[in-house]
This record gives sequence, structure tokens and C-alpha cells, in this order.
Amino acid sequence: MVDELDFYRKMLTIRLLETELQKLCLAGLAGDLHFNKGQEAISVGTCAALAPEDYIVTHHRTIAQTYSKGTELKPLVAEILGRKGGTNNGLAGEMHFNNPAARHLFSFQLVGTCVPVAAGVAWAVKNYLREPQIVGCFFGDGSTSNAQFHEGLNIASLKKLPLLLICENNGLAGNIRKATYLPTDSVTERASAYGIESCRIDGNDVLSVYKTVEEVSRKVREESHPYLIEMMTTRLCWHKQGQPDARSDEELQELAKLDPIPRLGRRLADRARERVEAEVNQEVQDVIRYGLSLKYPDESVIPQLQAYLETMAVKD
Amino acid sequence: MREITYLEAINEALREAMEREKKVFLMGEQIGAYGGAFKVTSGLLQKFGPERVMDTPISEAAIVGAAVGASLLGLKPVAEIMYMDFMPLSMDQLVTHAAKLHYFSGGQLEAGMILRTQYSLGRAHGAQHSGFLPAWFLQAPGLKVAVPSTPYDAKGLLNAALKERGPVLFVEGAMLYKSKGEVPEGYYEVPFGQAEVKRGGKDITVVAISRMVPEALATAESLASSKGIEVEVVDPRTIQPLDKKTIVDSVKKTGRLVVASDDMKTGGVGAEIGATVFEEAIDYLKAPLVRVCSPDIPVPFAPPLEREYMPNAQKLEQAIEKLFP
Ligand SMILES: Cc1ncc(C[n+]2csc(CCOP(=O)(O)OP(=O)(O)O)c2C)c(N)n1
Ligand SMILES: [Mg+2]
Repeated sequence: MVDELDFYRKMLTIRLLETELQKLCLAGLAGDLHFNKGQEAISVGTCAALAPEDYIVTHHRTIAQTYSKGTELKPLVAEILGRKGGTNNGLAGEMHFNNPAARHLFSFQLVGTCVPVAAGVAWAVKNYLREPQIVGCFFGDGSTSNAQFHEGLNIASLKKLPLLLICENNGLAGNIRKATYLPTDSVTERASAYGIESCRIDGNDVLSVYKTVEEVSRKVREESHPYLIEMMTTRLCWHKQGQPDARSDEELQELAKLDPIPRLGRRLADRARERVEAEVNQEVQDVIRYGLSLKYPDESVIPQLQAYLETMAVKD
Repeated sequence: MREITYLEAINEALREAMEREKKVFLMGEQIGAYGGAFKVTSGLLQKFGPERVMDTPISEAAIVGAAVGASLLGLKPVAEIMYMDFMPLSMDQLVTHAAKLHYFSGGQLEAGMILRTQYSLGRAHGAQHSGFLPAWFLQAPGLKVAVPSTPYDAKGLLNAALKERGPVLFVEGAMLYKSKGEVPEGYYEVPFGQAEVKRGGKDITVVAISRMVPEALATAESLASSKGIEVEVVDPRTIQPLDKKTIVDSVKKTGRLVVASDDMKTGGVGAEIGATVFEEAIDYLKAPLVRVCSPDIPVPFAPPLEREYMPNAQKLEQAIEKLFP
């Protein structure tokens, strides 16, 4: 359901959370974080339009997707800070978020590698579970240069798998620009090459993201075939901690005009918007304080993990 | 002599090689204007232009495959793979193809190329961006593997690597990039297959790899002053080929062997070095082999756990002390 205020709340939560985390990064208190600043509308709109039972498989820029798919803020922040109580007890970190309970299967750090895995999940859903779920796979435009992206698309098309391919096209791959890695105008052309239907939309308009995913996911679910949505967006922050932005301040200021959050904010009544802003701000401050109060996992866990790895291979 | 960092030494070796030889060119992800994820290729695009400093898409298989192709016509590609954990994506071209071409063709073909990569253990980069995986590459005859630990060795080994007829995997330690040391200006080589005794000692041999070399030197210093134990630190510098003689001679003198390396213990470089010593000097051993390595699990993300996971000077010291009750 389109709930503009809820979309606003979620996007703002991600934004403020990342703003606080960035401070912690700079203070050396958080690891190697990739932020979604400017791209929040994609995760929020897409996950709202997917059914809760649908699966997602994601890439390296994944805080927004993890939160949007339903992971609670507390375990999410705990994991980012590597603390006890994190989704993965500090073993995975932001880089490898996974929360099967929320049907967020895994975040694949090596770009492009999520695509064949998502195809395999879609295969299992379609031919083994025989359930109506679809699989959402998030990846960046830069990842579409990697072999596994292509092999995954080819198989998904051949086997008519219910796979929704979400390309977050920010015109950058890490710190390099499109001209270095994409010889075609769009990523949709890559989908066409494999006989996969596709469309391109404004990924900074959360309402259009929601509406498109709602329509397309119905098609993917009912007709069982892959579909690629290229969502045009803007990254308004560093690629990752410690790597200076390749863009000038002027360019970033220009891009900031496309920020999806004020864009939605302008549609909302002031009082309601301001109330949400105050609540989100409070919630984020609280959860950061909570995260920092948690203990790191105990060091004795290392031999336990080793023993666990030795015994975990076989299941009765 | 002037001192420069490990990172500057590699940058300088690349720049000088490109000045010396037209056939040397670079390729990799964001190595051009951005200067590389770790800034190792900084300034080289500006100096040599985009034909010799090629920014590639995120295509590890194609980067190495294209390097193989270019090397077949006599070019000297130096390709960068951003993290050692990404090597599996290029493994086929490197191990199954490049390593064998010279041999297959009876010497008619040469795939002389360098693959530079780095490992980031110790930087809270998580389990897919921290791996030090050198042993994987020991089962690829035709491929050589360098693991420099000092700025001097980094530049000298890179120079030597450029003369090789087959592929060389050149593994940099990201934790070493800022470390400083004496480096001559201009050309010199550190030959492959020649270990260096980084510190002499009569009581115990520590064969240390990459980041563990400075750690082992710290251990040696500490044990010499606290316990009077004289540790000999041997740095193989290349693990393929491995300078067995220097290692074996050292163990024959000291009678004790510890291998210190960031890779995982089981099936790691330490296993190979230990086996070599058992083959060639078992009668000289007064104590069991000890390996101070990473445990056999993916590296945990949480920084205190990662610190606990990694080998270091203290752990090495404790391991050695146990051999001298
Ligand atoms: C296989 C692989 N190669 C290189 C990297 C290093 N890397 C991390 S993110 C990134 C850029 C990815 O670009 P894109 O897919 O467009 O995502 P964006 O960062 O723009 O969100 C690169 C090169 C990686 N993670 N995986
Ligand atoms: Mg991108």
C-alpha cells in the first residue's frame, strides 16, 4: 500500500542512521561501511512492494535493503558495530548482512556474484517449493560488467525464473564513472541481449519505484520469468570509508538537488513530516547509543567457531 | 640511503619499469585517475596516459584473460586485482591457462605477466576482503609467487618479476603499505627463490611471511633481551620458488622451526615449509614444528575478534617460549 509518510520515515531512518554511522567511521569506531545516501528510495520502495514472503539477495551497499526488508534497527546496528546482539553476532559485519528470518538471504560482497545465486533461489522456489514467492536481486550498474551477472541472466531467462533484477544505477562503480565500464547507454540493453524484459525508471522517486515494482512483481509472479528494472539514482556520499570521493564538491551539490528524501518530503503536510522527523531522529540517537553500549563478542568464541565448523558439515 | 614506504617503492618500481620498457602496461579497476583503491598506481595515468594505464570494468576474469592475451604478443601486462579474495574470479585464466602456456608450447609461447594483489587482514574488512590465500597458488607449476615484506624487497622483486617468462603473482600486504625502509634509487633486482635472513640467531628459526616478518623481528628483539633466546628470522620473499636451502641450513643450525604467516594453518604455506624441513633435516630437529597462523575459520568482522584471530608478535613469542621451558 502506498503510505507516503511511512516511506518518508523509512528513508529518513536510513539517512540519519548512516549519518551517525559515518561519524563513528571517522572516529574509528565502525568498520568498512558502504552507505546508501541518495539511493534510499530504491530499497524502501522495492521492499514495500514485495510481499513479506518474497526473498531478497543483495550486494555490497546493503544497509538500506537490510532495513527495508524488515531487519530491526537494534540487531542491524549491533552487527554494523560488530557487537553481541547483531544479526550475526558480529561475525559478518555490514559487509555480509543476512537475516533469513526476514527473507534477506545474504549480501554478496563480490559484485555480480549475487545474480546467479538469486537465480538458484528462484529455481528452488519455482520448481521445488512450488510457492508463489519471487526473488528480488539488488546490484549496482558497475556489477553488470562481471561475468557472473551475465551467466546468471542467461540461466534465469532460459529457465524462466521468477527473478526481479533491481539495478541501482548511480553512474558509478566505486570511484569510477560509467564511461569506464558501460559501453551501452543503459543496463536494460544487457537484459534484452538475454531476452529479458526490462524498463528504466527514476529511482529517486520512491512512489514510482513502488508502483513499478508492484506491477512488475505481479507479472514476474504470475507469468514466471525474470524482469530487470534499471533504477536511475545518485550516490551522495563516499563509495566507502577511507576512499576519498572522486567527485568535486560542486558536482555533489548539483546531485543533491535530486535527493529523494526532500523530494518526497515536499509532498507531505508540514506537521506530519516534522513529527516523523523528530521521532526518527530520536529513534536513531537511541539505537546508536544502544549499539555502542553493547559488548563485543567474547574472544573465546574463536575456538568454539573452529569446533563448530568441524562439526557443522553434516546434518541428520 | 633514503627511506620510502612500501607503497612508494611499488609505485616507483612500476614507474621506472614503464620508463625503461615500452611493453610494460598496467590494467585494473580504478587504477587510473583514482590511482587504485590503495593508491599504489597514483600519478601513473598522468605520466603515461590511458593506453598504458588502463582502467577496466569490474571484470576480474577478463582482466587476467586479457593480460594473458597481451603477454602472448610480447607485452608485459601488470594487472591489479583489488583484493586477494577476488583472485578466484581470475583463477582459471591464471592457473589453468597462463601458468601452463610456456610449458605446453615447448617454450614457443610466453605469458610473462604480473598480477599484483594485496591482502587486508587486520583492517576490519570482513571475511571476503581479508584473505591471505597464497597456498592456493602453490599447485600451479609455471606460476611464481612473491610475498615481499619490505620496501626494498617489493621494488627489487617487482623488477625481477618483469623478467620472468611466465606469470607472477605479486602479493602485497596492505598493512605494510605505510611501513618505511631503505630503497636504492634506480634499478636493482631481488632474485626469485632467494630467501633473506632478516636477523641471525642460533637458537630457533622463524620462517616468516609478509606482514609476519616485522612481527617476527619484534619477537626476536623481545626474546633476545628478555630471555636471551637468539631467533633467526628467515623471509623466503618468494614462496614459489621456495629457497629450501636457506631454510634447511638455518634449521640445521638452530634445530627448531616455527613458521609465522597470516594464512590459515591447514594446508597453508607453513605446511609446505614444515614438510620440506622434515624431508631434508628431520635429524636436526630438537622440537616439534610450530605454526603460528590464522585459525581455520573465515575471519570474524568484529575488530576485537579479528585481533584475536590474527597471528602477531606476542603469539609468536609465547609459542617460542614454550619450546624453551
Ligand atoms: C568482484 C569484485 N571486484 C571488485 C570489487 C570492489 N568493489 C566494491 S564495490 C565496487 C563498485 C561496484 O559498483 P556498482 O556495482 O555500480 O555499485 P555501487 O558501488 O555503485 O553501489 C567495487 C569495484 C568487489 N567488491 N567485487
Ligand atoms: Mg554503481
